[in-house]
Amino acid sequence: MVGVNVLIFLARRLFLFFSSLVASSAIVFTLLRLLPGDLAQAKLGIQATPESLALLRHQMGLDRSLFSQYFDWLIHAIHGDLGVSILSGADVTSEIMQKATVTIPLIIMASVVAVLISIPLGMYAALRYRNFDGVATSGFSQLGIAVPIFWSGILIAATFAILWPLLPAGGFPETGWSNPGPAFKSMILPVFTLALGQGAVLMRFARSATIDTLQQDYFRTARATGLTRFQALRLHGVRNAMIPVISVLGMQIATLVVEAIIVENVFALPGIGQMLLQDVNNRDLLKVQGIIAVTTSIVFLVGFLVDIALGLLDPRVRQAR
Amino acid sequence: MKKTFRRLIIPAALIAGLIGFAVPQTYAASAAVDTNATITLGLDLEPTSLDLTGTAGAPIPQVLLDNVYESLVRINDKGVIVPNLATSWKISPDGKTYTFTLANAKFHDGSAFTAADVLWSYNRVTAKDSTNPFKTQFANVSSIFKTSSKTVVIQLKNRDNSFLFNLTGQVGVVLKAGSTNLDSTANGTGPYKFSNWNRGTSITLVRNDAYRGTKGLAKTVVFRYISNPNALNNAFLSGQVDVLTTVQAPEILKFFAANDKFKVVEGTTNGEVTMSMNNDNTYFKNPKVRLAVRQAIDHKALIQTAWSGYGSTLGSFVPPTDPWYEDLTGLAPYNVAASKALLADAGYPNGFKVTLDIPPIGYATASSEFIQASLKKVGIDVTINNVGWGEWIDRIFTKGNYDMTIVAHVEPHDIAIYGNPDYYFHYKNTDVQGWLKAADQAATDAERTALLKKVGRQLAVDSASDWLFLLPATQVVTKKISGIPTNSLGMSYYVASIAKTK
Repeated sequence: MVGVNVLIFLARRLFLFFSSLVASSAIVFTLLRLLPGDLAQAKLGIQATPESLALLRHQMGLDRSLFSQYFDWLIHAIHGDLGVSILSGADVTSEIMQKATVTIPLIIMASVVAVLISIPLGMYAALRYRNFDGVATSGFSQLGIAVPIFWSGILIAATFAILWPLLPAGGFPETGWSNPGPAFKSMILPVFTLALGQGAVLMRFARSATIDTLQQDYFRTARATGLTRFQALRLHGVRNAMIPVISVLGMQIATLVVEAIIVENVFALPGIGQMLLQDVNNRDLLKVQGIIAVTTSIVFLVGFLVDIALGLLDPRVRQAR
Repeated sequence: MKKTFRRLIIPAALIAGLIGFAVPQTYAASAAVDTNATITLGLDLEPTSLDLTGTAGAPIPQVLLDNVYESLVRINDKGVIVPNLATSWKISPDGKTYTFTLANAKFHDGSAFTAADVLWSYNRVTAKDSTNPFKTQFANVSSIFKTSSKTVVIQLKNRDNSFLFNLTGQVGVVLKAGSTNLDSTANGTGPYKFSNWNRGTSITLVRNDAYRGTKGLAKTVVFRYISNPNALNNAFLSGQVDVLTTVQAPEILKFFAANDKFKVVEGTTNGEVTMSMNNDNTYFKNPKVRLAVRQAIDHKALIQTAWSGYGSTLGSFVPPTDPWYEDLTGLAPYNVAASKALLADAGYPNGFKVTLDIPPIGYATASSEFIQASLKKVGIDVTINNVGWGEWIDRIFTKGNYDMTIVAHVEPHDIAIYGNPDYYFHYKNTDVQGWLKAADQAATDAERTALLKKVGRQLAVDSASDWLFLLPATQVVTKKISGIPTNSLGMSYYVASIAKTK
């Protein structure tokens, strides 16, 4: 009864997905409240009187118990309402949605570019792993991993926006994607920066997975039927080599979200990452809470989808749990 | 992370500097001002809200005060109080009654400005449920009323020589009576109208062509916010931004100064970079120890090392633009031997150990290691501890629990903070407290200036803190730009005089 097995597997994963969401939001909520600093003071500044601060805390509901504050937030969050920012009075959900129009395309495009660069290169490096060009390709990917992304971002901006002013040094058009030309143009350098680091990591995995495949019995058998190494890899090896690469890609999404914060700052892109950094600096805790809840949901969701994909691809994964 | 970025600015600047030679000089120095121009200002900190009556934080008045919203009086680029929504004012001989004659002005929505708007705005500050961050500046107000639609009278409980000056700030802003939605809109009377706020990116102002006074020179002024200093510099270098209003890493200024596409504009501020020594601390309660610390630091070399030589030395908590300034640097000259002798005299011939708490801001980070090395020479072992702003405000500023810290006090005319024994300095001198009080109620300006001069001198004599240097206002503009506010003496960044040539 494969169908039942799949359903049980799905239900388990789904339960795990939602319980980790609630648990992570509770942890984030508590940690944010434990940090030194006072929201009312963040808004009113250092000249405010104790009476004004107390009044504002009351108006904002900060004088209630932590538990009731969290519970309130959670109930609203489940309904898609992440509240309003204490500092700006702006609706958190709609602001995140608006910033997501920068960050989500950035992450998706960077992942696509990373995959497109890394898998062919990784396979090439694997096929030629005893030759100079294979080693060189692989060595180059080490460099991609070793160079921190803010550094490569600065260099890329300095080269392609300042030295040769081909592309914008940063920013995103106010008109957004309704004017796709400039919007896309302003994404090229950030996407490239983000994809470079990611691609380097993926390439290492694609290479080692391919080398593993090359040593499998079925691969030798395929070669014995008269296929060239490349044909055998294309027909039988790619699917097998892809399994570890997909799971790494899933895990890398969390890294991508973090790196997006850095890339958005280096290129002054008004996305979720830049907003998060600003809100942390401003101590806009409710908003930070909302942003973290959304980003962790995305990371969990991708992990969940990758799990499902792997489970469907490979029966051993389903049975193992 | 911010710190990392700041350190990385040097290599990028190097690259930028090299490029300057490669690019042909294409600009033409045409004198014609473009009245249809859009001028983009590059700034680092974005406002969190547009409500300057409910939120503190310098970025809000920076964009809105004097440009969009106006107060009865304004402080000009020379630090002088000039008429604004009030065309003139009279102060009664006892200094308690202020009578303002109002200008014929219109709000941006077309409605007329009257005394009723002033009353509504100011009563909102003093109201019981008001959370105006600057409510205390109106604590001395006993009543506000109008005698005609163009005359407003403000009565104080006691003479208060800071009152008119305070009115130039956020607390004095006049809103349209009944205004709502202040977080995201702004209906003022100023030379520029609020147009839109693209959160995370920019605030756009457009010229108010119906303005009663001298109209703005540029049609559109965009305040573009880029928090990463490197990205901000790139935006400037690639022409997205016309004015770099803040330079977070002064080492880059050399490159701009060497490039004739750009102009470095130097001005002065009220920002005393203050290294406070907790006067309640076991060691620092002794003024000799505090003087020893001051004499152990070569302030000129500090400015050279930490701030690339921009900024000037300070002998007390008074910027040179205040009338009660005098050069007091001679009271604590750099002298390691004298510093050691003072420490020995105070009972610490072998020095002691303290912690220096550093908030996340350029001048503090940049100064900390120099101070650590300087104090080591006289035997004081300094541990540098980096803290976030939340912790700084909570533990240091509010609770006063620290040994040493560095922060720039940028508020104008803020010497009175040394009169408050509970302020985080914990400086207690009853003479100073008395003089400050007397200065506030002095009958003449001369008397007030003389008293505040005494305060400034006493702070230096007591070594109440160490004043590392006066923050410079350094900006960089492209050659097409003129008329930027050079000095940063008030809270606003006044844009009406900025022009761009065609």
